[in-house]
Amino acid sequence: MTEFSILDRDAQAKDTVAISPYYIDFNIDRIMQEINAYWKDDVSALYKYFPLTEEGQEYRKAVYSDVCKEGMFELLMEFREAMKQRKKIIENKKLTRSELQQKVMTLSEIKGYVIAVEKLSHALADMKPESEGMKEFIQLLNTCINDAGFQELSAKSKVIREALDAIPVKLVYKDNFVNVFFEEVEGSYDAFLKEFISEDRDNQKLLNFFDRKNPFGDSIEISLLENEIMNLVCDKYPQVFGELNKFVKSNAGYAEEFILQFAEEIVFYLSFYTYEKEMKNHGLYFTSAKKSESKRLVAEDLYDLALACQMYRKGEMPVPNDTRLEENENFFVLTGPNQGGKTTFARSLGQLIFFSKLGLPVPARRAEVPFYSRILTHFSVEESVETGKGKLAEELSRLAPMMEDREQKNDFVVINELFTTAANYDACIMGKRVLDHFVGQNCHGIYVTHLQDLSKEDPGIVSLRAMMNEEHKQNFKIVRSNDPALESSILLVEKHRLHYEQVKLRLKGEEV
Amino acid sequence: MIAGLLYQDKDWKHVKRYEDDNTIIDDLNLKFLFRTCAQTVVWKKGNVEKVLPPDPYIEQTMRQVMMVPLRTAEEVTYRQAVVQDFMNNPEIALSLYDIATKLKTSWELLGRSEKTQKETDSAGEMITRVRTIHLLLNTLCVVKDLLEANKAKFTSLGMQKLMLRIKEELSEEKESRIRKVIDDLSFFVLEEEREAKMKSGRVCVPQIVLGCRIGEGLRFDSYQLEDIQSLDKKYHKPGGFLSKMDDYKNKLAPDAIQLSTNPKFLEQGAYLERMMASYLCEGLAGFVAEIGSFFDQLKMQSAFMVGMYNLEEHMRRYELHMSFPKVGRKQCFKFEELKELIMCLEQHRIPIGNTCEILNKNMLVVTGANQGGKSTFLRSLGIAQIMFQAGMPVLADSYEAPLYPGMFTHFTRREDSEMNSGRLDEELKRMSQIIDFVRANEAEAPGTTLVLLNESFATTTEKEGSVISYDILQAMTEMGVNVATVTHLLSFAKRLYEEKEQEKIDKGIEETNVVFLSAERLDNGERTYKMIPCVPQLTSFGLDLYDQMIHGR
Repeated sequence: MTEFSILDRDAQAKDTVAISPYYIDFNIDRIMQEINAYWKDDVSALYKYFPLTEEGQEYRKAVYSDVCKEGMFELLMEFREAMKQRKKIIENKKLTRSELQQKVMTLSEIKGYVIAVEKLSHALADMKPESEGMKEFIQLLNTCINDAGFQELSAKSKVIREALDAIPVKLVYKDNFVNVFFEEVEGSYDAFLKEFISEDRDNQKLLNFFDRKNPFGDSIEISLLENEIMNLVCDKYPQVFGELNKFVKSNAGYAEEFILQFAEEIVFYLSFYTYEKEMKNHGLYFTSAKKSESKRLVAEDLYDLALACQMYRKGEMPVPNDTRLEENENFFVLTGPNQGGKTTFARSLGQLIFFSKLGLPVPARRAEVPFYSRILTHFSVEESVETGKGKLAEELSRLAPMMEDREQKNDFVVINELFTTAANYDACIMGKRVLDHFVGQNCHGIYVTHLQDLSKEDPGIVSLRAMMNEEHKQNFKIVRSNDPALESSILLVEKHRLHYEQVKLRLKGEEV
Repeated sequence: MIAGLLYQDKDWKHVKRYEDDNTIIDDLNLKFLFRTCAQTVVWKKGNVEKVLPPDPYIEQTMRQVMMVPLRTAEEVTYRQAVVQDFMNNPEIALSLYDIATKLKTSWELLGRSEKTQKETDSAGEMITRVRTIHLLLNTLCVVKDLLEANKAKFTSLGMQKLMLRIKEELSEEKESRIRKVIDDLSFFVLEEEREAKMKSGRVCVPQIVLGCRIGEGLRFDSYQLEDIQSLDKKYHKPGGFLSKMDDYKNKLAPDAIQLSTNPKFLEQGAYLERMMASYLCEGLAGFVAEIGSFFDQLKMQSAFMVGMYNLEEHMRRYELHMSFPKVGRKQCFKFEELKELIMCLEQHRIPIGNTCEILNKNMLVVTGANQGGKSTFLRSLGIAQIMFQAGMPVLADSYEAPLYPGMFTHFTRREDSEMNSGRLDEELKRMSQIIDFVRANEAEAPGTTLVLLNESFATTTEKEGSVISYDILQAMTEMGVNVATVTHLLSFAKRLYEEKEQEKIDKGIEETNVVFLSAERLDNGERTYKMIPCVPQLTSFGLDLYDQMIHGR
């Protein structure tokens, strides 16, 4: 059996770690909701594990950049659609008791498969992909379609289908009888009806009327009356149906496993591509994170993607940030006033690491991200009613497994407000020890805290401060008057932007 | 097919309302007008016998139509001509409204509203659809005949075009084709009807010839309908001798399936019949949609005409005549004996008319005595302009003005003239909103905005209110917006007047962009309720009123 995965370089090496708390902490779940919504299906399962190695990460990035090439996405989507269709036929086969119907369905299933594989194989080679994954896949496909067995499968399925298509059936319904004739009709009543129609849309509706409303009922299974008619058809054309029987019997396990797996896995790239394109239309931007040779972490105009997904609907964007950890630096310690965007920044950093570990583009203009083996997070649970010792115990119970010793020591750690219920003195000491631990383990990360003292001393620690956003500053300072009443109404006029100058500017269409 | 009574080339879907229509309705008390238009006056020997309760549909239509301004002189001429046609022939407006209303009722009885929710293929639903086609076809024929018979009475382009359109839409050939489909479907009737027919020894059965292919999932597809028809035949009782003879004959044909051998077959045969009927209805769905929407439009548009007729009848009670206004050039306001229509209707008295000619001004400032008719004057102007822009006649001997599709009102209502900062905040908020609307309108069509202000900024002190007024109005007029304001803010009026006088001297000109009007006050203190050009005074003669009410105490 051919072992191949478009998601992993080494098809067997999968990190099967179940969903981690950071999924919620970084609001990845919200981003996932959007991805699912644009893809119109739940694809979360594909986003739930990372490649084990840095090479695996790069393998995916290369495939993704192939997917972004012109025409590639459409090609893969077409293939994906064909394979979905095939799956649907397999489902439908279970819904009928008629053996003849199952056989005809199998014929369609095989024909759909060979056409899709042939088409993909030829078109994919023309695209000249550069990634290791795609190149290997093309090779495998080539071997597959050049196989004599496949070629016979392809030819035979088409010939039998054509023979079925060529059988003309004419039904005359009258006086509680159906008379079956094997001859062509002209459809002259259709033509008569069409004369009433002036709009294209209505014409289309009439044309596919019987696709929507089958005159013999809309079940998948063939209806009794239809079956009775079909028996007459079989009697009339024994040879065609004999061929069909033989063909279906001798081609039970026709599909290549690696192709089927490809069709499932490629959705990972296609779904993100769909999402990314949609977001770009709304003014968001992404970049492929560069592999960082020197363990430097750099991001320019990094933003919180989950927040941006909410804001673009109102025509707004979150404030982006530049950030970097140099070679000899390990940890950010972020302090600042409440509502200053601290948690948002921590989340955006988490998302940066998350998406680069998945091998997908990240929400920034430019990024350089080293390989981290794990992402560890600790966010305080706000809705928890527990206080004092109870809450501290809860926090520590989540912290303990994060701080266990491991061989690989390059994790990325995001800590958002630890020990808020402990006394300040205790909290400082505990915070310091947590920080020392992760720095000592050579981890990277960010620690969001209200404790000012934490940011001092260690050269590996970079301290950040969230500044107050000045956008809502009130410029009431312009007008000063001793008359408080006048002042107050002038202030009101200001508030409604109705000063002489303001009105004029507004009427000119300028922002005031 | 559009009805085209209101616009030459579009139906009602693509029109734009006044931005701030609800405020205009409240400020000008238009609700009363809408209601009056919806009330029929019944006469007996030249006297009013009674006034019927309002027709809610007409009331709503008046509101809908009047709140969409016409935007060009052509549109005004077109609509005025149609309105005139119907005012000359009110019985036809009433007939059309009646026909369209009855159609709607019958259609709703057949279940129109349900149909739009869900498309089903139950036998009942199918019969409804067939009957709907029949109903629409027949009603359209009635309208066609009605208009044809009264052809000579109509002179407007709108009516002539409508007659042409109906003729085209319902050519004899098309009518006969539709009737053929209805005939072919005549096998499809309710069970009771079928039984009734059987009693007379006849039965109507379908004959369907259908081509198809074996589909990808075995089930047939690529259907082609060769023929379908209803055969009117003698009824043979099932199981009877004659019926057995029929079956015997049919069985002789090769590849025949007798449906009566299996109840499932019979069921599926009936389903097949229904699907075929559904297919035929689908073929006529476009016709149904087209004619259905035509009658929706016709109902609404004829309702407007009926409303106009009703209004004229109400005016007749006061022996008042309305006249069609003319579209004037930019900044040209001329009218004779303009009266406040709604006050007349509401208070059952004939108001004073005003005559003015205001040229090349973009700011009209009305000051003067309390109770002097200032607000009435401003309202009469606003109401006339709204009616004018709906293609209606107005209550004046003559009226000429440009079109102001961007019309806004900022009226201080009596109840909020109380002084507190909450109220001022509210007033300023409304004003700020208007500025946004004005900007949008001016960006689209410069110079087509008219803002009517009535006692604005009365919720603060005279001094502050004057400053606010001055700032806002100056800025607006400098930007080319047209403003008419009734104000009690005399320091504002005075300041503006002095500046304008200075401007005349500075620039050596005789006229500025501002005109000042005041309520006329005779030397003996008597008020005429007429507006005349006048220098604003620092008193509003409230003392007069005081004397009159308090009698020298």
